[in-house]
Amino acid sequence: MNDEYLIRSAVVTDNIFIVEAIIAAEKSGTEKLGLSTLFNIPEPEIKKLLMCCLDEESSGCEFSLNSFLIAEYSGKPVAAVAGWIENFDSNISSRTIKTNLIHFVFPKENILIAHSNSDIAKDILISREKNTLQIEYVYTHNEYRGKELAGRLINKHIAISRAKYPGLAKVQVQVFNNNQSAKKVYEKYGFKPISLYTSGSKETLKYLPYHEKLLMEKVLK
Amino acid sequence: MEKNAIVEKTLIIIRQVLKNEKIEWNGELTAEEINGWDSLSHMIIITELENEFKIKFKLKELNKLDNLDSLITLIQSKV
Repeated sequence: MNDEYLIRSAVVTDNIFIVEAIIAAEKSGTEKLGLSTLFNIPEPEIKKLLMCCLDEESSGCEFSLNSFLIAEYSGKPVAAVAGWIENFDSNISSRTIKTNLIHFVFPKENILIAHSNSDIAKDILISREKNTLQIEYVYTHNEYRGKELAGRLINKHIAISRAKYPGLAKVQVQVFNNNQSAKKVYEKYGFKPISLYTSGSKETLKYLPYHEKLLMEKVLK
Repeated sequence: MEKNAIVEKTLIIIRQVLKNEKIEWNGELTAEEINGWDSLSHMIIITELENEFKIKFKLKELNKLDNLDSLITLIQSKV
């Protein structure tokens, strides 16, 4: 029954769907989009900027097209998950790669605005551990939920990453702590809560979906 | 421009953006190892360096920078 869904690497024509996935995951079940509020850029413009990020040739972060796997049904993308091995291809962290992309694509004046807002998110920016598989932006279109597509995509990321790096020992995912449905999905696929990060800024909830982020981890055998 | 002059100007920018006059130069340091050098300050530092040296970094060049020495070498190649 699963065979009607094709699991494959993302291609340029998936970009609109991937942007939908990034926006939905960033909102974490709320209407607050941190990229929009922190940079003071309206959501439609953020979508265009994310398309530009995905168009750039950049590997190893959550805004890289080649980080994404897609579940396709009847020729259209219905679920997406990003994944990459942190620091595997270079000494550069995914955070720096993502930051370079933003520097390159986002308007400079908005970067200055975000810099002035930096205290809002700093306590819940979780460092990514080297040589672990990082999972981000797990998204399934509403109509296709309950079909275990997220799990299949995560497992495919694990299989691909193990083939590339047989010593892979851990998979990690970061989630806003308000997102109970996402946490349930991760628990179902073997992730356990590791650390909770809480923002010390009273402004955080004005800008972000929640003031706590949870690091979850799956240890591979 | 001589390397020492580039280092001096770069250090001034890093200290200004990170609001920390005590930062000392060590070419082997990575961004992650410098206290306060987070994502947003990274973008401001890169922008200030582009303004100061009147250069433009390419994305591929930025993604190859693994420490301060490599940043200086890149600037030197452009000025």
